[in-house]
Amino acid sequence: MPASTDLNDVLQPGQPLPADSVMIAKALEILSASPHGQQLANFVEKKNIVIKIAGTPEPVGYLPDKKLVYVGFNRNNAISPGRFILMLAAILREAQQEAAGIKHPDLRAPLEEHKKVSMAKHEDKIWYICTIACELHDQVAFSDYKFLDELRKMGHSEALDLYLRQEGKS
Amino acid sequence: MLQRIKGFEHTAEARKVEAEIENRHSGAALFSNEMPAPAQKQSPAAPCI
Repeated sequence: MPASTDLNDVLQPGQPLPADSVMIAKALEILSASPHGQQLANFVEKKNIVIKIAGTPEPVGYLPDKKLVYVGFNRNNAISPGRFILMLAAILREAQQEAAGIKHPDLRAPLEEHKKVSMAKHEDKIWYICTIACELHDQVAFSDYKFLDELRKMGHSEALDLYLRQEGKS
Repeated sequence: MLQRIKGFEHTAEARKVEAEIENRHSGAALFSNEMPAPAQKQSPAAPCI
């Protein structure tokens, strides 16, 4: 697999997936092209975060440990490169929250505390991937990834509209 | 440190996340209620001869 492989060329339906290490390296390289994505790539390097890909029925990000993140998707029906990159960004942001001491409450904590903390963490994660998607969307080199469309397909359409309004981009 | 999106709490996505949190929380409560009490230390049974 050539080092310069574009994820759009290799993550196509019906094509064999590239090695996990290639997908992860390329996704981190693309993230690094955005200022906020660069922060995440630096975080991975500085904190020795291990990134793994798992086969799961539905696309999912999973953080079993503060230094280990999983991006899961159905290997027989691969997700788009843009979605893979945004999912990786989201779970890395969650790892960054944990590293900063912003953790989910204890299982026995009151429901209101769970709602307050977990919702704030989720909102922050969505803000982050909206920001990265916009920063990459603004670069012609990544227009094929259709990052804003991917965000909407991932169920973040309303959040994206609010974000664009808030940031004066709509 | 956490970033906000103004109005996010009114989105369908926020309601879905809230429902998931409620489900997780009630599941965890159920699990903790169903946890068996620690086993009582028992004297070894008398050997059957």
